[in-house]
Amino acid sequence: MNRLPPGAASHQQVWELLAWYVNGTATPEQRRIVDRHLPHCDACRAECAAQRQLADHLRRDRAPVAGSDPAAGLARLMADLDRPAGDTADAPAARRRHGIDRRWRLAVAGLAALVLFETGTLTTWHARRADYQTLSAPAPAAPRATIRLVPAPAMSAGELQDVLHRLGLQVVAGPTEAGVYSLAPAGGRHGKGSDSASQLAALRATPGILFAEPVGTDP
Amino acid sequence: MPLFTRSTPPQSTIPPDDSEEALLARIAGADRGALATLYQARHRRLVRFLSRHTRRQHVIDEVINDTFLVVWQKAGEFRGQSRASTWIMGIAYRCMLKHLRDHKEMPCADQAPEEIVLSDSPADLVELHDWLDKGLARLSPEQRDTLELAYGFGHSLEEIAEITGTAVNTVKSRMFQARIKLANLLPNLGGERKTP
Repeated sequence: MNRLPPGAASHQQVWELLAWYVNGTATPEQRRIVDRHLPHCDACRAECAAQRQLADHLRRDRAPVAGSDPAAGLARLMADLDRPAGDTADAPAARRRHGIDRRWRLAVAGLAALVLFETGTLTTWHARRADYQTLSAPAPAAPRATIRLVPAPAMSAGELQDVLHRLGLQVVAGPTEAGVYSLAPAGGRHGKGSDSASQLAALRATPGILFAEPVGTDP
Repeated sequence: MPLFTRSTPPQSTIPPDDSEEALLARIAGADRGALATLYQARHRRLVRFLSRHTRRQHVIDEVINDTFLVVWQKAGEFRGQSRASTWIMGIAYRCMLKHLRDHKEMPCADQAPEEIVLSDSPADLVELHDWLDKGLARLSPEQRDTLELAYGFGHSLEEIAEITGTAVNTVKSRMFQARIKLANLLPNLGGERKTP
């Protein structure tokens, strides 16, 4: 209250009304009260100017949040609408905490993967993979997938490829629409690091891997 | 159809086809196209509002998704007592609070810490918005929301009470405290005031 000079009884009333006067939601009667007061009160005119500056600031667009994509969000919303009725409770966030969260992450990662496809990053990678398979081993029988994996949207194809190479893994399918890659031991290797348990542990410890599960586990 | 439609006041008995009230009526009839239109029209404003609480994109996306799931489920309960924008913002506000509570997040933990000393005034116009943001970051989340809803979104005192689920007097008090605190933090706000 140290900014409120003593004065007429209406002064505080006007001071409080200024916020709604500035944002245009004051009633006509409230506007008249303020309009009558302002010409005679330096403090309220200064406060009015301050609130206008603040309002201008808050009305301006803030820097967009990186990656907040309405198209991807809408796609996810539409997918959520198709969940069984029991799955769409009044508290979706709480529901997700208890198990749906992983599916959400899958969907987001999937959408991000699709975006990456469109920008060419993964497309190039997959084209290379396709070429390699065609040239070196025509129509090979796809190795049986042992692990399902979802990379974080921020993970580049190169980073993912490095991780898989280090662990002796290869992509045998995917990404699915939900962004899931199916992995199998590279080249049928069964040496060091190729057992699923240690590969899973290593993948889960890798920053940028959202999700890694043995095949057969429902994501 | 314009991307952003200004909602009509509740006294309008027949909303225009592209109003948010009309969209809610269609959503109540399970019209997904209407939901998509409303989502696209509201997304940017919700991001702006929520980004005052967190800059984490996945949190913002999750709260917006939750908001529209509730809109989808509850659109039939909208009776037009308030503007559609007020009704939707109230849902978003509650979804955001619930998320913060469930995840035990401190609102705006990534914003300016208390110990930063603010200058009396911005050095120039370029720094003005940064200066104001730092001042706003010192407010409580409730005080900041009140200013954001009033100035950023043009909601009335009564609408903010409805959105935040509080009494009108509570909103008045939050607005009062927010303005007093900012006046002390940013004594040259408005460019005309004398330092107290």
